[in-house]
Amino acid sequence: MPPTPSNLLAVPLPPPFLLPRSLLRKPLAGCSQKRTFGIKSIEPQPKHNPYNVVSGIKPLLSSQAAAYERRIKSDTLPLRTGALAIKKGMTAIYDVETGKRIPCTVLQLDRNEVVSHKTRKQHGYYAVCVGSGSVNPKNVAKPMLGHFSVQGVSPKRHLQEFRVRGRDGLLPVGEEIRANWFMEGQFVDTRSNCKGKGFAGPMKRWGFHGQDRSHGQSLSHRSHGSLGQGQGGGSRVYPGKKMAGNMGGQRNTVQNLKVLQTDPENGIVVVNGAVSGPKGCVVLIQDALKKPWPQVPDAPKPSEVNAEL
Amino acid sequence: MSQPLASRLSTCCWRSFCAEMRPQRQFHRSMVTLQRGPVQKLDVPSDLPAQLLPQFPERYRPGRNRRDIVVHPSPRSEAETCKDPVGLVENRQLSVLDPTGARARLFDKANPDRAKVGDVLLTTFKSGEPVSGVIMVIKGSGPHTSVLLRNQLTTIGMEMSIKVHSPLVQSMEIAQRTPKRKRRARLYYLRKPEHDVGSVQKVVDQYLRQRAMLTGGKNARQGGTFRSRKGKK
Amino acid sequence: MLNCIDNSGAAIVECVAVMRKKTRHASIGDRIIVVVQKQRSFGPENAGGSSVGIANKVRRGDIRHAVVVRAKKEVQRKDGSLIRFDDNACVLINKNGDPIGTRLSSIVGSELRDKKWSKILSLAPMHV
Repeated sequence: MPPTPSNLLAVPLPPPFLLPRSLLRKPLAGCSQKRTFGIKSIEPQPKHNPYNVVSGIKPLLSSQAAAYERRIKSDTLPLRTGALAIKKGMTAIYDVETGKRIPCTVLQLDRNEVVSHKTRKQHGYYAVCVGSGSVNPKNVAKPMLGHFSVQGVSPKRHLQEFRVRGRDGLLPVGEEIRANWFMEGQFVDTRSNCKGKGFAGPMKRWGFHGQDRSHGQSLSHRSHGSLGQGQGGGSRVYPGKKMAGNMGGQRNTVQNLKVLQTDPENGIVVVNGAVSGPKGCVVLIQDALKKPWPQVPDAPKPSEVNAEL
Repeated sequence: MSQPLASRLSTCCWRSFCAEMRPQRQFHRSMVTLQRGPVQKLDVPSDLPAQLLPQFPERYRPGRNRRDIVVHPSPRSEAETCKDPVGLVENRQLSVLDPTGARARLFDKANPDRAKVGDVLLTTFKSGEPVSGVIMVIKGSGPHTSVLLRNQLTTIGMEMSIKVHSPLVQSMEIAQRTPKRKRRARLYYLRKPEHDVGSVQKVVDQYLRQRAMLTGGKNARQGGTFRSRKGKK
Repeated sequence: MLNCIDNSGAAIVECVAVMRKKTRHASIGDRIIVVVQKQRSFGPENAGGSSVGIANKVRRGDIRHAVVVRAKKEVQRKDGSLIRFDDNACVLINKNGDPIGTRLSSIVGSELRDKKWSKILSLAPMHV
């Protein structure tokens, strides 16, 4: 009995986004492709399928869609968006019951608003673009000013995308993120640029031990030693060899900081421990990746609002 | 007259002849420029035939919905509301740890009766154990203020730095004021054997006795040593 | 070099190793291995007759375990306060962790309680 189209379709296929487009456009049964002539843009001809698509084949693992699936499966994307804060300084607070003194960093959120979204359909991933602070519109480029104008938010000093796992994490555009977005007791990751140390030697930059003070050393007490093998190692210095160079001033993530206090009125978020960077630097706060996702009491479900995305 | 001109034409080329004529032409041009005036921009007529429209740039075609840029107002600024968040957090801490402000007043620089270096301070912890000693240093400010006390217990010198606003501290009292104002802010010289004040236990006992007399023996439980001495008296 | 403050017979001991620590530095409550450098002369106590045998418990050159009870280097407590003594001192213990001596002569740090040395703490006249 020749295979009918219904039979063929019954074979379990990979999810539709894994299949090449040419397959989706025409049913599988249409293997005898109709040849058309004339203007191609009017009647697009089926493209030659570069993939070996037969029933029962495993889906490709090196495609963008498969990578996205893996990312979702690995659970390394936060459910909620983060916020932008300014590091204001460090202090210590006491735990009144145990008397423990806890060093902490005071961060301040300032006029955080959702400026735009990145969607899987349009951009390939879900993210919330959050802006904070304010800036004189005179100093904003026209294209950006138009962007803010269309989205209905004021011009923002700092703009940052926060990736979220799915459509549920897309907070509506124009929504304000206050300090109580983070709950006391939850854990967050902070990202900020650490203090620049300038051109640093290998001892400071990489923790090398340096060389002897004496024993015939001349002018090389704090320098690195050998850079690698000779003939056996290819007679070259490998890429990424740790050497002296510019240190600091780069993005640094501090994971799993506990939120000790929040104050939405004044935009204050107090986190346990230190956050990289000088006072006044921009700090990205988002739910900690390596802890269970926080239980939000009245989680906003923007999926209804953004159903068309 | 024609003779010299003809001779010139014959000797010179046409270029030099043109050069002679040029000033006249330039003058003519400048006259035109003067008459032109400012350029006036005209709107695209609305009743233009549709087949002509593609000749215009897109932005000039009628019916194009050109949106003006609107600068939306900024929401209320948290940074403007609270200029000093660190100070705010610290003040809130202080209001919890030291609601009456008595502890802060004890180390307030504006207070003439504050604790000074060289005074003997008696500190009681919530666990009940007292720690006393001579104040060597007063460090820090706000909720971070700390005092460094020095004492000798069983002939062994001991120094303890205590956070003034620690919730573990029950009370802080000045047992004895320094008789003479110390001329140093930090009395690190007390660590030298020749300057060490030794044990302050006697001073503290005397203070406890006096206090118990004033308060009518209500606080006699403070030290067991005191009770026994009272009995002797 | 540490003072030995119990009545095991050692007066001054030398630390040769710190146990269960990657760093080479010991603090209050840490178990160390010591060599007895100087014996205590129990003149007055011998006259009392009560601790004749105690004086012989350790001898010069013995390798013993000990617990640090006082340190010159300041120790931070959980409420941010610091404590620092004027000398380094220890108490000798046997391999099971029981103190060899029966009495301690001076104060010890109360960090011993956190590190489960309550036996030593109960022998001490005072702890801060």
